[in-house]
Amino acid sequence: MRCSLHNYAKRAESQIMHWAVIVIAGIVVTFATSAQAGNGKLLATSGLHQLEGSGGGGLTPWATLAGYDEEGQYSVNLVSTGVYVNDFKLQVLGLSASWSDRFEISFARHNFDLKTFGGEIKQNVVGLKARVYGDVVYSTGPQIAVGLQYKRLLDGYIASLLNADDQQGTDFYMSATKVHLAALYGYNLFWNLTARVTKANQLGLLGFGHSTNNSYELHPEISTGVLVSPKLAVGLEYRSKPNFLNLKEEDWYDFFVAYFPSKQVSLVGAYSNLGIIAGQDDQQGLYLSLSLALD
Amino acid sequence: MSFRTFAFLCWLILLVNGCAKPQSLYARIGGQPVIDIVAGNFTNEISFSNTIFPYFSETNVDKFQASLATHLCDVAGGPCSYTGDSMQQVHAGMQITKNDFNKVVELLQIAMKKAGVAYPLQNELIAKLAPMRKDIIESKNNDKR
Repeated sequence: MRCSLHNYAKRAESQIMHWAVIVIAGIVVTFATSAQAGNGKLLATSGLHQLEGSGGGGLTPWATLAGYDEEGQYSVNLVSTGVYVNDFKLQVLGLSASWSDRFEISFARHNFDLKTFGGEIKQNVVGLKARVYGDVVYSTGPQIAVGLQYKRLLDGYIASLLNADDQQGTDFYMSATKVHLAALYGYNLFWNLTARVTKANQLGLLGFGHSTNNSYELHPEISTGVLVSPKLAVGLEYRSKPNFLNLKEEDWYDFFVAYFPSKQVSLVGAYSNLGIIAGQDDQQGLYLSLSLALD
Repeated sequence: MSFRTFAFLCWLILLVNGCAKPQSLYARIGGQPVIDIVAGNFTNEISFSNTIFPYFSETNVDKFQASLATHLCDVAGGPCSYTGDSMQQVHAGMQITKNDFNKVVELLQIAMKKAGVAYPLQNELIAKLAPMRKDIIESKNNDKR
């Protein structure tokens, strides 16, 4: 019985992932015939793709949708990100689609390489986001979006070993992002504030919650930066994290440089400090990300 | 240096800075000669743009360019006052989308770059023009944000 339930869950899960990819493909086919490819936003104002595949900075989802689509347009993006810290390596492959600068759907696969312990943890993430107010550049207030990230481990062995409560979980967040034109000696300044409710241990890679505590926690995430040229942004990020497993999970920081050579490509290099992961302290290193527009 | 001397010097610096009249954006950009080049470049960029040029099919180019130069001078704090039609009147019924608006911003950026206007000054001018967006665009679902 347990076995068949497990198989059923596996099937359901792979169906969700398939649906995400099918929906993204569907958007391409539908919009490719009726709408324009996304190029309506100003360079760099699409933002980037964050670790879980949503439009954002690097660590944090932003209120921006990860494409250059404006009203009546669509965009599709492929992103590959690698985070290389002392004892671990995280590889993220993501696909996202957004339309009319209104909705975003994203799919991401995490491959988490336990270099020191040996082994690998895989996780799928499906993200949804909707812009509910504002324009990141022009509105008086910030652009505001709400979103969710549904995450599911492909193999929950390590999560259950650590007494995590679940192998799947959903984060919900609200983000506010604003560009202030010429605010810093003529340079464009931007900031983002995100409030996330989550049960995820280390993005969910170590499962969700703990067998003794599986209630949602609210965590803030903050990013800020400057466009030093039309194509180059530098900034800082902070992401508060829960510590359900009592493994001294720590908050994350990064310092990033993002390069936007065109509306088709963005490149990010960052120094990231991920603190203690699974009892291994001082996990810091390089974050590299490349996004390509497919529309 | 005692703390008192230090405090006095700080106060003096603040006073001098505060009293010195900050130069207008118009002056820092390079005054009317540069504004005129920007207006000329911008008019050229529009004429090369397949998406934007159709909006100008019935426009008198010379009149537009002169009116734009006055408007930019005014907005940048120069010694002109723009007395032409309001942005709302000029763009009424043209169904200008957010995409079109951003495209025009891009053309203006190119025009300023070609005129040698430094990036921070480009941003300052765009910041002064940005509030006009709500009078220019027309959104299908009236979502002007």
